[in-house]
Amino acid sequence: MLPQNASPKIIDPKFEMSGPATMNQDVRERQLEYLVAISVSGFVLSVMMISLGRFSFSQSHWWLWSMLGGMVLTLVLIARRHKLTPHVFIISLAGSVGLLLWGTDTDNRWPYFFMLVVPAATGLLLSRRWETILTSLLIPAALLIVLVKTDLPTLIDRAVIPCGVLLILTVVSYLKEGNTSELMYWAVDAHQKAERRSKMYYEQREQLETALHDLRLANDQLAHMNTALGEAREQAEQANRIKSMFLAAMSHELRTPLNGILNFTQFVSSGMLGAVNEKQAEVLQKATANGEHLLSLINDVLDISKIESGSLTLFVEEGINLKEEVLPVLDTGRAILKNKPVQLVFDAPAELPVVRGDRRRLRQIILNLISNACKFTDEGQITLKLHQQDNELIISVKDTGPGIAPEDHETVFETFRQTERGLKHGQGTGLGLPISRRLAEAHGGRLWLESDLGQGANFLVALPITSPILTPSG
Amino acid sequence: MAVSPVLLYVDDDSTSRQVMEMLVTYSLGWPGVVLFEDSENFIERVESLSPAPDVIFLDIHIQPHDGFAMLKMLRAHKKFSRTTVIALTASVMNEEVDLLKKAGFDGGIAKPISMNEFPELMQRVLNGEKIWHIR
Repeated sequence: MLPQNASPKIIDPKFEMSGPATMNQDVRERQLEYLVAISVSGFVLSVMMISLGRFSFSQSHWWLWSMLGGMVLTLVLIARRHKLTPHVFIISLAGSVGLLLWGTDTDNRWPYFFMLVVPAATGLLLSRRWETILTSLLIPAALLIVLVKTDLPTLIDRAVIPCGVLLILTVVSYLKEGNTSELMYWAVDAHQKAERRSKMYYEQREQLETALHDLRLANDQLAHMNTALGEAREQAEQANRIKSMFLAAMSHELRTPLNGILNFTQFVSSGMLGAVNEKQAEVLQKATANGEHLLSLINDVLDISKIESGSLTLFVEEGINLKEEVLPVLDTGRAILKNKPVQLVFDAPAELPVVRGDRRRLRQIILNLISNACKFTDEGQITLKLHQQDNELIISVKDTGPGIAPEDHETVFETFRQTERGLKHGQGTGLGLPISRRLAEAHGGRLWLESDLGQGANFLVALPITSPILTPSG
Repeated sequence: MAVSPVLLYVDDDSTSRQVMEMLVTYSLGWPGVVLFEDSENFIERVESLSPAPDVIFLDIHIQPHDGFAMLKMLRAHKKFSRTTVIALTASVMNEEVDLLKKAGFDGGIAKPISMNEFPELMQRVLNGEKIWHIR
């Protein structure tokens, strides 16, 4: 048995959709068109022969007209793609043969017997098993009509042999479970599938080639972009090198004259070079303070450039006692506060662990926080508090200053950014906090802020007591 | 201190030389410091010093031999191979400090020199400590 469903499964659902049923129908219709054409040609030939008087029938030509009507109906049904088309064709053929037998008296019976084979073969070719049986039954039915008019020997003569042939055909068709048409449909179906598959293959290959072409284009573009990117990176690196060189040179060029300015003014104000009156000493101290401020600005710019270029190096020591380190910082804070009604309070427990880190950088962080608090607090209290919390040492600098709005909490940690109040204050580079945060992070710690407008500010630093990311440097 | 140590300072910047001189005489109260204003015939001039210097301060950006070259000459010299040599520079970027350490300086002091800190630093240098006061 070779039914359609035995054919290889097609994965592509498109093939399933186009469906074998439709295809079978197409094949059937094409064959029907040929058969109808042959029948109509036969009809025309018959009419011509009759009209020429060369071939006559004793009865009327009903069978011819019935066949013509059947053919026309079949053609109409083909055009409409009606599923009953083959049946109508076979019935009309069978009917016309029946009519022919009905009206024929002649002894020359063989042409008619063969005519019987035509609808049977058509049925076999076009129809499925049950339709073939139906067709085969139509013929004896037609012959029954003949029986009414004819005696038994004539009937046997005319009908038994063709009926036998038909019966045998039917049985054979039945036994092989299916019919030739199915095999043919399957073959045609497989061929069309193969055709469609190869068409799809070519389409896919075309698509693949297009895709490959696009890919090559994309690759070219990518290579081009890579080159551009490389150039841009080269330029950026070059710019960065120039920036570093500039900063190093600037630092060098600014620090050298500061060496003279700071030391000379201090020598004079110290009185080592001769007596200095009170007014002179005051002015000289201001000059020194300004020089030191300038130095701290240079250092800040240098620090941020080191941080941004990733070249910040910590000089790590063990056993740093922050309680000692904050003392000079507190002095600096008090100097900034001068006569402001602000109390600077230091609060630390008697037992406080020593930490691992860069002594100078830790002092720098605390100095930044304290000097900010002292600058921005006009009255009240500033508390520097050290305490241990789990494995961290917490430094907090809490003030009663104006406070910082929550939306500005991150702004204050951005480089060269200051809040409006900070800008109005007109001091510093706005680098102190970003530097401090990065220094805390370089120690494996963190720096954050708790504040709101009018609530004062609390800056907190958490430092790991023994930071795993730091190794003591020689 | 019975005998003050002999100091040599090489720097092409006259202000820096004067600052050093004042720091030594006023802050430390020592008789003085030998000053070179360039590095021409450096090793011959050091050799000719009597008594020989105990501590040598070298500027880095100086002609014709820079601080590294002078250090090399000293280290190659039998007499000065163990003399304390301190870099005194205004260049304090990390990589520059690393170079000084790798080159074999016994310490580094950044300009501007702090008048208040100088005596203590000097004491530590004389105690044989490696000082890296790079800010």
